[in-house]
Amino acid sequence: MDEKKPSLGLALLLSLILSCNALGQASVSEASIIVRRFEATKLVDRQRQPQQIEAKISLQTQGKAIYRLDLFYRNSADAPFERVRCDLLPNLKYYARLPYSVRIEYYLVATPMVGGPTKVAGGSIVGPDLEPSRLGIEPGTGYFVAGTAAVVALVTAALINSDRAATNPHANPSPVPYVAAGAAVGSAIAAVVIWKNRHKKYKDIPVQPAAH
Amino acid sequence: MGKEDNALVIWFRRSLLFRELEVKDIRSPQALGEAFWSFGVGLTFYFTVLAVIGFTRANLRIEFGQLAEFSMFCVVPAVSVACLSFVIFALLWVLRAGPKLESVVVVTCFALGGMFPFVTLGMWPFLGEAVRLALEHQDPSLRYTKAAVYSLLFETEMASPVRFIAYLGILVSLVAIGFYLYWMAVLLSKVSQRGGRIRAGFAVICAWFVDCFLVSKVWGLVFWSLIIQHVKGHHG
Repeated sequence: MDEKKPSLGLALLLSLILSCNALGQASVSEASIIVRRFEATKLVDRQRQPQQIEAKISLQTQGKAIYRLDLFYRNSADAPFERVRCDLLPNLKYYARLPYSVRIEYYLVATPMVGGPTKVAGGSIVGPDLEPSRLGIEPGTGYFVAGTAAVVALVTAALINSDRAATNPHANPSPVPYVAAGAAVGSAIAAVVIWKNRHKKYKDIPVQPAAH
Repeated sequence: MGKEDNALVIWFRRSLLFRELEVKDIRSPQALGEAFWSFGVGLTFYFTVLAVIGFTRANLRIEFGQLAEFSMFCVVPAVSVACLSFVIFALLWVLRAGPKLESVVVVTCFALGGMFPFVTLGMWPFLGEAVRLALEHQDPSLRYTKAAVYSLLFETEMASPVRFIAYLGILVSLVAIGFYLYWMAVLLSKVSQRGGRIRAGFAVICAWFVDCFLVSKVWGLVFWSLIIQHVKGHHG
């Protein structure tokens, strides 16, 4: 088997990818960013009083890699703009929450990975015209820990068990690996449930308008 | 193993029957060459599936130039193998387990060569959705595969059979990853001078996380850039 052939192929591929990447960067430098959808809803509390406005933004970047998206807003014409950083949701929409106001003026600024910030779009939001949604609970980051713990616990349990069996074949089987494996499975399920709940939180939950 | 064995036979004996590997298979003079061939076969399978999905979903014409450009994407898995091998070797060296770098590279190549086809098959239901999302958003830095997994598993609009296939795909991928990581740890402990399985397992898991967080980001950026650029080129 000739060992030089794969190495030569890899070197060739590496040089090709570098040249292609340079061409790609040149082609995306003139791209513009489009706001495909801007969805705003007002978040109401138990007394149906509006508390916040949530915005979900869907972009089409024409091949440009976006590092961050900021939403600048102000409640009155003479107030300075304030900035809120948009989170990227698992469904690839950007998400931001603003304090509720009757009228909000806003614009979006996208910061690409290569190049300076670009103003994307702007407009105004009229608070009373928005659809109401229930105020949700902020998601935690526990599921990351739970998922990681599950994988580590499972592999460690298996390795401990196999190590023990390899060094002492007559040893009694320990319950530890099975407890660890159970904990791992439990953690994994918990992670999925938390993840699913987080997804639900971001979905719109329509409520009936209050009777006047 | 005779010299007449072709790459597929090597892949079958070394990567698919990874569990049956012995220390002499990893330390033999021809092991490194076999490892590269075996990895190449797994990578070819992976590349073929990605190309089919990419070209069919993105409605691209199959031209030699495009295929050549698309094949450059294979560089990233090679970088991934190098990164994984180096981090495992470095961690085992810090833990004083003392395996040879060549043995680590051989085990990693055999393992990834076997893992790629299973993970590709398992992720098949998600890749088409990921391409659709990529064409919709056109930002190469976004994690479309993750978004596709999220969409197919948790979106209520999906039909039950589709969701069942999606869960099955995830299960196949996770089992394949777990199987190969476990046997990597076992084999590395065997080829190390003072290596217990716990040390080797720790090194493999840590290296896997490093690889996932660093290399997969670059991997996605290159792949989605190519897909999006081709679509923009064809549709103006």
